[in-house]
Amino acid sequence: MSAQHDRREFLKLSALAAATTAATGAQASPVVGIGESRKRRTADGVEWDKAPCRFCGTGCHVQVGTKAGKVVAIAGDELADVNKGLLCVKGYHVGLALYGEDRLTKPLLRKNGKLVPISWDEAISVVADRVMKDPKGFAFYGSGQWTIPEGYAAQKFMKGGLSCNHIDPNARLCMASAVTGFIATYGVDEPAGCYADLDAADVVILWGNNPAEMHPILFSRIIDRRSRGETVKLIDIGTRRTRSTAHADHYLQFEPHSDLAIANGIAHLLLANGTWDQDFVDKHCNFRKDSDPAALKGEAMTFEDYKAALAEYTPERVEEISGVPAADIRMLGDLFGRRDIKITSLWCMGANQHTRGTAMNTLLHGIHLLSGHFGTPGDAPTSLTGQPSACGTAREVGTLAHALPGGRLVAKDKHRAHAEEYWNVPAGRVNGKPGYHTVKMWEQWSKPEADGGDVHTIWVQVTNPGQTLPNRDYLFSPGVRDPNKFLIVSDVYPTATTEGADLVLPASMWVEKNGVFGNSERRTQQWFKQVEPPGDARDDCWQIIAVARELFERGMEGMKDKDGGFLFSVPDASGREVPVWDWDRYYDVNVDKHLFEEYRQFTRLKQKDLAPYDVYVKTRGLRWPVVEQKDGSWRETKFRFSAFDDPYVAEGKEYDFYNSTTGDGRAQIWFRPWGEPPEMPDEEYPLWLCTGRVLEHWHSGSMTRRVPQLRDAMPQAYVELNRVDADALAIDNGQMVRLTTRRGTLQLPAWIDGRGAPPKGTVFVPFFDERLLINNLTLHLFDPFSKQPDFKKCAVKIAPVPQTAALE
Amino acid sequence: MPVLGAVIHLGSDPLDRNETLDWLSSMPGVTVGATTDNRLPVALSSDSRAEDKALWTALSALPGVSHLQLCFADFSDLHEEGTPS
Repeated sequence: MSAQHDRREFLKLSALAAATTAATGAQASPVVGIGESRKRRTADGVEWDKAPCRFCGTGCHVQVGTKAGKVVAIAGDELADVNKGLLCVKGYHVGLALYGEDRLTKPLLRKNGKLVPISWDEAISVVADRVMKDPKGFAFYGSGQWTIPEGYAAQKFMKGGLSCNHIDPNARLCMASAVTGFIATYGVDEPAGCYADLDAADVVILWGNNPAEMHPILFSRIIDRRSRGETVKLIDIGTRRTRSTAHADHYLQFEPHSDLAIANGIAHLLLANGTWDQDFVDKHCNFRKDSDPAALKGEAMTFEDYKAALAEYTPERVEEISGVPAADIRMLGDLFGRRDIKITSLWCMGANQHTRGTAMNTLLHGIHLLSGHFGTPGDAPTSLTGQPSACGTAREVGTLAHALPGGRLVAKDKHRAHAEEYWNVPAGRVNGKPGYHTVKMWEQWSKPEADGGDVHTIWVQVTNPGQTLPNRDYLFSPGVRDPNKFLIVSDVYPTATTEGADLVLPASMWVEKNGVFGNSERRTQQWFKQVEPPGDARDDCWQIIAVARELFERGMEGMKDKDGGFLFSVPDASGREVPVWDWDRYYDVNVDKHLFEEYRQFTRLKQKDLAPYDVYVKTRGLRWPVVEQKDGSWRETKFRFSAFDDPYVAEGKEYDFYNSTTGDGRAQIWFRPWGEPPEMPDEEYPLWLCTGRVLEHWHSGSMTRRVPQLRDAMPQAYVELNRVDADALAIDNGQMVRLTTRRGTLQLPAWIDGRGAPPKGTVFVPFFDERLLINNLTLHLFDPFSKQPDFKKCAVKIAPVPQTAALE
Repeated sequence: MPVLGAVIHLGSDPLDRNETLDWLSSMPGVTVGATTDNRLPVALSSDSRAEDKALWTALSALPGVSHLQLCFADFSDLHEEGTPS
């Protein structure tokens, strides 16, 4: 028998063993110190180590197999509670995302219109020059793909070093309305429950959410329960049929933007039918409404006023607004009124990318609080995230223009003082004025200096705004064309953003560096570097520290702590400073661990306690607050605010919203009236345009489009059309169609009766394809509280174009 | 070419389930493990990417299959053949 045959047989046995373990449902214990080996080596010489998946916010753990300096295999991690050894189609291809043939491997500087290779020394010097031009006009744009230490370093560099708050993540485009929804309701961000709710719920309601494609592992938890004979009712409330709809017991199709009316209709029925949970509400909730001027805290309202405000949202009126039959509104009202069932609501971009996103998020929390479907396993309002560390980095580290780590705000004196103390910088170093949020930052960059465009440079890391910003020709392209504006992009592949860059910095990716992510269920997950990055690619975190050091050596005060030391000084075990700004010395010490331990000091204020770094090394993640026990072990928290699990609930209380905005331990139930959207179909632009993702590609596709299997499975973007609209315009399947909004035009092939099924009057376009930039057409108007734009609805007209192009 | 490990989630109809198991057992490139509840572990091995895709599509379309999930993928051959493109 040949060696090749032996090896293949071995791999088949390994594959079957992994599948068998996953099939038997082996689960990880969340308890630290169970003694499982982190690293192992199999007989074929493959080294295995753990890492969270690089892609979405679910936070599945994979086992990464490496050999001869390459990732050669991926297995679901059977010790991971999130995915129990299973992976989705993107997850099992994650290793191949490292090996696209066009990886960026050299710093590139635009000279005479062309990007030409330069040295790292020159690249770092160029970045420092741009900072020195005017630190107040230097902005940083990152993402929920920053690891926690990377985001923390960027945050410290900008707010603790440059005294400039113009730092924001692409998470602003993704989940900012979830943040403001949580804060307005509970006084603190992130879900109370966790994925275990999906194992206990009798009813799961999807609010404008398609987890079958976007969070497949979580969706399979629900479907798997059904195939084992359990009854789980699935209700899909959406504006188009998706793969999730195929599994739903009920599909409730609503008019875009009318979801607020549906939530109000449920609340109205709970009160009208007397089925609200009066005991829970009396003990644990207040009522709240919008204030004038508008503020996130709003103002108090009485129960009587709340009830009166909801009176108009009868099932019949909600049907008029939303198109959902009154009988279905009653069905929802009856379900929420039952005490004998558990209800979990899931939402993601549908509720967040919404000019009333904060309002919609608070209403979703509100119907759970009002009905008492809160705080026990299976009864949960849960927002999902789209990026692997949107929670861990963007939200917890607070890489937002108004925030500081651990739920702090730059506008609060005490919070700035905390940051200055932990960073050991002089009092007054942190600026108290919030910086520019994403849309404003790019607007100020794309606006000429003479017209008040006071952002001269943006440094982009781990994201692709040239593809993902809305109304791209307004927010992105003018800045690219302006010779006085400068764009620095750290990335792993050429993208629509690097195309407009003046300086490109090649970056390490995923297991080419150490990292820590935080997923959708408050789970913090650590991994170690396992392979070298290609060519001269280097870690994003190192890039920040190297620029900071260059500025320090040029004498910039901001890069010094109050003792005159370097802001990012990292000592070794003996206390001697390691020159981590020198790439050759960067891994002499674990920089991630140093930054994480510094950051950990910030996490106690809002009960987001993290365990020491070394504890995470031994686990597949822990959900905060993670609290040390008397025996020295560390205990995670699955269900916040509930006495049975949350150690911060005051003794004697069953529930305790200890960060309450009203300071009385209560959550807020909001009244938010439905209203019309800022742009609606009209005679000139008669259809709704919705944008989103597909199963095979993650985000802008810059990684997944480099994986041949994923690229082959979904090669290009398309426009999904309803057959009635297609027939009316004489459009055939595969024919090229011109889409036009008030902002731009794009030609795409039509897909009729495709994967998703938009109703008459609606079209859908995925945004993963860098050759077909749908964000030239989308709306940049945003929610007044979260500043998150609406990518889900704007007015569009379509027309067939003469040539045909078959779908590949 | 890649060797995959997957879990096939079977539907509750016993007739469909038996048919699915018979079909799978006769398939070249498919190694079937022992069913636990509704979950059937399999290893899939193919000689080309096209064959791999066809096999996966056929599995997904089988009556009695609720859904499929992956849990293992080896693609070391791709490195040996050169960088994937």
